[in-house]
Amino acid sequence: MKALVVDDSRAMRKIIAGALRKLGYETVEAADGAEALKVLQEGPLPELATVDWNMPVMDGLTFVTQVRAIREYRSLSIMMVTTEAEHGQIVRALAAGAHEYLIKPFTVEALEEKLALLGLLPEVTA
Amino acid sequence: MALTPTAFEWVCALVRKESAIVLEKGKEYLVESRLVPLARAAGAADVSAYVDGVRLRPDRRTQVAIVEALTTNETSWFRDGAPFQAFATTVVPALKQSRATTRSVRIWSAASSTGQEPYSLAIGLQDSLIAEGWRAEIVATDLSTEVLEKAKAGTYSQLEVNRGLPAPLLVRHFTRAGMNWQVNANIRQMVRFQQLNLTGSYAALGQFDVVFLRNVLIYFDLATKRDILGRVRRALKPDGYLFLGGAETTLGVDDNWERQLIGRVSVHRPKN
Amino acid sequence: MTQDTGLEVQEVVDYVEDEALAQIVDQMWQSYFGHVEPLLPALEPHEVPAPVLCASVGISGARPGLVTVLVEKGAAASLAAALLQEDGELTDEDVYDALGEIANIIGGNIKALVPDAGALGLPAIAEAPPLPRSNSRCAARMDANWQGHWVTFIVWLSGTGA
Repeated sequence: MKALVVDDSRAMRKIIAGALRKLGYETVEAADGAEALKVLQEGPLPELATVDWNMPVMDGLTFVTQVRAIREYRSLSIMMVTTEAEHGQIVRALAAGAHEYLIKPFTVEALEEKLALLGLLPEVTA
Repeated sequence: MALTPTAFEWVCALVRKESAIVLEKGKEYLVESRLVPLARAAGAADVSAYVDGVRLRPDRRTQVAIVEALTTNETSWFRDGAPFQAFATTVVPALKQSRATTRSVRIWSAASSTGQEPYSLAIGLQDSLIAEGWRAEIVATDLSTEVLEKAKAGTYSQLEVNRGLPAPLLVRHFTRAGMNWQVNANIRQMVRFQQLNLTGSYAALGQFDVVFLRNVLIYFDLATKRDILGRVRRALKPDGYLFLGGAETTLGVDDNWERQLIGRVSVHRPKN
Repeated sequence: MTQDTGLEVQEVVDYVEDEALAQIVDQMWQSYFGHVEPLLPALEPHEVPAPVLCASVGISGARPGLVTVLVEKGAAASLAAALLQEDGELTDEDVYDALGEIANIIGGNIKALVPDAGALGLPAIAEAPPLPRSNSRCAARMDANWQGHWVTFIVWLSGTGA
């Protein structure tokens, strides 16, 4: 499985991508929403995108809204991974088309459980 | 100042023995930060001194407190996923047929800990039984009154609501309260919390359609397990359902149960 | 009648208490720094000795705020290395990025405590703490020690009446 990790912090991209790779994912990274759209255009379409909210150039909410307007990207599962922690912000992200929402700070276990909710937790074979 | 390796290893071994939870090397900080309040309350100089105290002079209460401090956060919403799916997709529809005249169900969450299990059940019933006007009562019991108090408040930290709770259910059934999130009143009202020792009497609880007794039998010896399962059977209606933890079974403990597979989940039903 | 006309700064400051800041920092440490030495809260305020690095994140809106993370310059690289779980030499950019993300995570969680807060800004790094707005007050502060180095977290908030 393939995941696109979108976050303007390299440290956070490394934490998320590292955890996903341990689970067997191939990962690609993007530092903002515009860069992430470019990655999607180049294809192939990943199964999962983890998306930060506050980023330069294009923020995560705009990215999600744009992705959801494109039919070919329908099978992409989107999980917001952000420090935005208000009830209303989660509602906005879900309304824009995110499937899941993980609030920073998060533990690796929490990330795995969210993937399980999306049906995207690979069976790890030792 | 920092936790000594001896103290850390002793805590890991204790937690592993009591809860089957493995704390790997690298979790020193977790151990230290969780035990600081206990060490302070006990008047110990630091966590290592506190651990050394109980290590050299074993004391059951302190041991239990240490295990509780290190395992409470391991609880997730809809823990393990599959049992709750089996409950929603198979058990609830079956109850809808068999309880159609009374239109009410009673569920027992028998080791409810900090409340994630009974509240997950209450949330899971919203779109089915509750939406159709049925009555559902969830009785949640635990040995620890401290844990019950937290469960009753229904207030959880951000790290806790991050654990296994689908975001659409978080926004629908929880309200932010300062640093924490609180389960909404309509869900809280469905759950009745009560202190109970599983080795004591269940007479006051009444009869149940479903019992969740997950990840708690592991704490007891065989004779006690058998006694508990026998009495749970009497607290369960003859056509009721018992859910155990993933690693637990009635096999070889109490043979008066029939195993029914729902997907990959085993559900236990009284033999008649 | 006085409902909307603005809160005094003291009332705004009350939304964020030291306890809340300490809880956020603790949750972050549990999540990302569990493999390294704990952050030990100081019992009394303690200035971070110079030279320092400071990461800050602004909160816009009716009750603007500023969240700052102040560390000894010498400790910033090891803090970044711990977050990144990397042993090798880090570039300045890596260090700034890691510190900025720490400020970002605290900032978002603080913003959630302030009713009707606006947007969270992007992290900024400087060699001195930024000057908070003249009408703002220190709402919460946490001084802590990590591996023998001092770290200070401060939340500044302004009232709406000003």
